[in-house]
Amino acid sequence: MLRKRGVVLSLVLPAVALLAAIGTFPLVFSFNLSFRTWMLTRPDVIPFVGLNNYSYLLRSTGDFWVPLTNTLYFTFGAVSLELILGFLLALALSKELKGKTIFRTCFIVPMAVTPAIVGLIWKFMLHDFGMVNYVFGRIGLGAQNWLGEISKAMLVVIMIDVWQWTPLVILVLSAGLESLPKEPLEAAEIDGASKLQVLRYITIPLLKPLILVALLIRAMEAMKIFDMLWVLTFGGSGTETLSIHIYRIGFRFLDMGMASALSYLLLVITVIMAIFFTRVLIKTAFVSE
Amino acid sequence: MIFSRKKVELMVAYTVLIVASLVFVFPVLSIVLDSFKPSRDIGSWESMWLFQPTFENYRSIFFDRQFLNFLKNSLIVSLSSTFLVLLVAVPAAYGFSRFKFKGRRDLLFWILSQKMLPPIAIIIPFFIIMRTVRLLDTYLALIVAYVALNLPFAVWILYGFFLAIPVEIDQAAEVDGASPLQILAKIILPLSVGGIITVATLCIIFSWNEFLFALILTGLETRTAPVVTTALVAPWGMGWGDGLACASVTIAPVILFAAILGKRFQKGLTFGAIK
Repeated sequence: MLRKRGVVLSLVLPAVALLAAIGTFPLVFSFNLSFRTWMLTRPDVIPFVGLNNYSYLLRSTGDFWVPLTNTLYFTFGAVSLELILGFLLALALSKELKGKTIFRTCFIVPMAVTPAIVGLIWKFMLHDFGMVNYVFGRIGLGAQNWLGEISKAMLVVIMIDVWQWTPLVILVLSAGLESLPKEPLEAAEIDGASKLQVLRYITIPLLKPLILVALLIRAMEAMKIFDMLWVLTFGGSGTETLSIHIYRIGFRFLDMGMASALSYLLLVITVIMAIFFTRVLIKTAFVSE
Repeated sequence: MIFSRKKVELMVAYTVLIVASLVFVFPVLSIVLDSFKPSRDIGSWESMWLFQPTFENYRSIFFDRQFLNFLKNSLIVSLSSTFLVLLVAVPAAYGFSRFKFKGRRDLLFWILSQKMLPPIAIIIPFFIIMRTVRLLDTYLALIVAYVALNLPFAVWILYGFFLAIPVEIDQAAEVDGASPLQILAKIILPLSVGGIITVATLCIIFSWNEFLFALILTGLETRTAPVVTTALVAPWGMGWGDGLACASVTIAPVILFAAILGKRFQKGLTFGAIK
């Protein structure tokens, strides 16, 4: 027994210790820092300010509620579109077609591109003289300022995220569709159910766990969005999300304490979302057994 | 001609898939194509489709801007951090998969929860700590950061892989007198080479593509490719020609490897949540 203990420890300990040191320790450090004010301009002065940072943030529209709303708007908009489009495309992919591998390879492309460079690609396409305006000019709608106007910028950003990550949903759901048992579907069709009814009452409920997994993965990632947005708009034109705002407070305004507090708020919100979705996921998984 | 219901369905499916594929691939092709345009033709509608292809942009980034340097930085950081991650994650995942010890579930859950961290939440302490120990603009800083970011993922995926290998194999070897370390090295590892390579490639890809930590923790010496590429087209940047060429070079290896990995890449991205 003692020998086994030693073996297990020596196998697992390095990873756990490393993770504790470089993953959890910074979190604790950050937690401590969130109760202080630390301006990088005066690094020796680190006064303890208690809950001031947090109470300021929770009462500040510009520094908390607006970025939070933007983040939630982005997450909700992008993820719902990704789920819907992803599902439709996964359905299409599940038919008996030739060339599935080619389609799948095409679908992998957006996901493989560096998110920051996705920002660059679309910045180029949405440029005043870029491809998108070229097409719009040709079809008579005229060139637009896609990234500069508040009315358009966030929608555009959502669409770009949809472009990059719908393939993830497609691949997840398509794997699910392929592994669905054929009998219930065939039985329903023999009983005279229409395609739509089969879809609604059998396919979707059976896919629920996978849909929720895709939802969870995408929602968590969308809440953290930074790279692509930063390159596209630097958070301007109404697209400033929490991550970008934290960056601004910490590296432009240089108040590391406040930035830490805001990142903890983001962390709490993200964790709550994760717990919520995981609960739903577990409940659904049990119900459908 | 009367089309059968099934035929119509197939045609719709094909159309939808073809359109989608074009939409997904076209922007990437577009910038690669445009990277071969002379600078003055980029962004002008007359030469949108017809232009004189040139290597001018590539010459510029490799000879005038030392882009190879930044690629080298990306490579060093990606490979080193992935090597470290594997060194630690493989034994850990093996330990988790074979031994049911007290607190196993909690530890695993804790590791998984690290994945949920928004990187921005640990970037602030990372920056401060690195600054204090004067490790800014060094490879070590980024390597440590990437190990922190990729380790939970690697442990979790490898755990899944090892679980799939039947314990009987271990037991047979144990009967023959092998120690756990020997079992791991001589039997389990060869069986899971595919999984390990997949995890390694994914970690390298994630590190290569990483932007935020690279932006904050690097300076002139250690800047990585994605940071340099995007800096070139910032308002203070120096032009789309160079930017597009850098972008094409930066994303080319990733797309190549992702295409080669195929289904494994997809599985990795979904964190092995799908069996």
